[in-house]
Amino acid sequence: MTFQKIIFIQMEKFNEKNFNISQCIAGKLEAELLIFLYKLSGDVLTFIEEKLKGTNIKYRIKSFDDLKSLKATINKENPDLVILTEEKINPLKHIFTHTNAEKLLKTIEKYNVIFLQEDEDNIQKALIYVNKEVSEFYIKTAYEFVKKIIGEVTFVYSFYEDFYELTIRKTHTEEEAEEIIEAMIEEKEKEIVRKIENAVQNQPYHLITILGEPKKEINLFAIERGFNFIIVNSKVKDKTAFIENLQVSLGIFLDNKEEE
Amino acid sequence: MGEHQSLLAVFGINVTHQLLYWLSILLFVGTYTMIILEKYFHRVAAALFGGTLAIFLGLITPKEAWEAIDHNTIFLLIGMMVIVSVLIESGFFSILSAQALRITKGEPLKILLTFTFLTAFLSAFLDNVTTVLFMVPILISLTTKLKLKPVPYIIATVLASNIGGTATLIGDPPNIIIGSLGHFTFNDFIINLAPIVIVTHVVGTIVFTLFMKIKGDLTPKITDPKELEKIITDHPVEYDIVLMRKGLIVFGATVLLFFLHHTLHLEAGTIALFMASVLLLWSKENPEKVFERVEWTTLTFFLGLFIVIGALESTGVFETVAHYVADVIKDPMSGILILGSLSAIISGIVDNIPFTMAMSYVLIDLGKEATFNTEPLWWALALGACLGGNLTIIGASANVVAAGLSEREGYPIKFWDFVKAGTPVTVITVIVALGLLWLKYAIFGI
Repeated sequence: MTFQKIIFIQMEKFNEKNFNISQCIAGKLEAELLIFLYKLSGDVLTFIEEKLKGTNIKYRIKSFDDLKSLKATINKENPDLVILTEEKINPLKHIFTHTNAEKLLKTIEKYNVIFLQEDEDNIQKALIYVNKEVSEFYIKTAYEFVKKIIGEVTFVYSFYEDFYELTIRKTHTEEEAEEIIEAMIEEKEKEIVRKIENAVQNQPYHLITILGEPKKEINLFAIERGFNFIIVNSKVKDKTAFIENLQVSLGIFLDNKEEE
Repeated sequence: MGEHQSLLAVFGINVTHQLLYWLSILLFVGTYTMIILEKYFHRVAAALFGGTLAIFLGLITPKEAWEAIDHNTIFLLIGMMVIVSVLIESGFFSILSAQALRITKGEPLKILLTFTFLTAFLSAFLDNVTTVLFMVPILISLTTKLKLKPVPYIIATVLASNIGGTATLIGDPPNIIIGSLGHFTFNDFIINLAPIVIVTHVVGTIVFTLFMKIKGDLTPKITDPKELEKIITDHPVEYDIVLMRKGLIVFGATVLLFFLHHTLHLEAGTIALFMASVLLLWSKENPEKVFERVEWTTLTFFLGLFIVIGALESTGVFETVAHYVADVIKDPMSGILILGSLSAIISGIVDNIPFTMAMSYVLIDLGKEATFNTEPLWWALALGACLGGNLTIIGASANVVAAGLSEREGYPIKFWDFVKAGTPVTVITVIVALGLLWLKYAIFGI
């Protein structure tokens, strides 16, 4: 798919770093950039105007005081990508509250979405999450996006078959269980590779396999290995958990054409 | 006892009540010796052996053995272990550990004081086992990051838990029994025990802090400020907010129901087990994985112990001991000291639940016959039974659970290590607590 129209939403607080990323994405994808400001002063609007003046980016800026009309306008514009800022809050506080971006989730879930961490000023290294359920359409979209924005593409697959693992460990010796599980991982990996190859044809990519529950492990793996952007598909299991557990920026890309 | 009597009779032994009486004492002493000799026997195997041998020898029938097992305690343990297991899976304790690290700045003394205070406070309103299940994983994670020995901190937390639990009706299982059989309200406990417990906690903390200071357990192991700063700030935590939210909602609801359990006519164990099942259904977590963290060995240890103690009850040993005590107590003032000290010693050796139960029935009888008000004796029993639990690793349920958790993480708590730390704290806190109770009645009258 092509990204022709991008909406960058800022709610109550303007984040310049995230704005720079959006500007950069719009520039690299040669897309129109729509900036939606919710409950923000005219100074912000002027600042953005100043920043975008003289660039090649085609843009529009709209201000909203009412959440309902913001949501309606998003739907009316039918964007290819929505970018928001995900506020960094203490996880203990997060248990009891939702961020502004999370409150918009229902409205924007039919589009490709990017939640940028509020202290992020650049997307440097990205991981695309794949499993045996994802569509080739999703792989292709995510691949093209990352290739254009960053260049190097890395897929990640998380082996998490806890039911089988626990059963195998109970009925076999430690060594035997390790062997069986390794064989299972290898088999799953082959399936994933086949899927990626079909989607990206002969283009270059890396595949990393990790162990554990994706909604937790991928996040932690990304932090430890310096990846600051993860892409998952819209049909991923525990999508809400993926968003709320976020410690790096996250993209949720549509899984098939019909969803467009 | 039917078939079981015949088991001894097979060997041509004339089975009299006297023989069963002495056999149950012998079995009890033998089992506890095996538990103490941990170098040679695992305490779980020893307790299970003792319990099943009691049935084999006909000291207790299988039906009596089953009834001797306190289902409320077992249900409470399983239920709370499941809830805590889900919370561990959600990363809640890792986050708390990271926060505690930031607040205490990694200073061992601050860690000790923060955790003992928090544990004592929580234990007053939560079951001690629940508090320990919460605190031990955080402490292990925190101390290992700082390269400190976790065991002394775990022991300090357990001691604080038993002290804090003494303050309220719901804080410790012996208090639940005393409240129920002695007809005391939540407020009666707050008025009579809470002020004493506050002073006792302060004294206990001072004693333990000194003990740890002398042993060098409060000396920071990481002295380089840069390295310490890195540990405090730089460690990514794996968590699942959605699961954590569900876990905490269920945990909160469980605590709320604990407060209302008298009104609802539900036992704490029933509530805990039910709420655990609600959490399993709601969270959709794999039960196989969740139950992996349940301390089955600890539960088996309790099963064995309950049966060994049940044999003592069944053959009337407890009754004899309790009546002997009743004969000795001639007035309430001396009774406070005698009953309180005796309860502390016995509770340190055997689990305080069956002992409190036996003594409660004696106090009910005493109340009918005595010419004096027996209320002070109930409070002495509560103080002795709860604080005495700090004497040994098997003195209270929380100690056993903490030992199990610690061992699982690779830090076994040795019987004598616990005794060395627990004895000074127990002796001093029991003296202070009973002294204050005695003083209260001496000043304000009975």
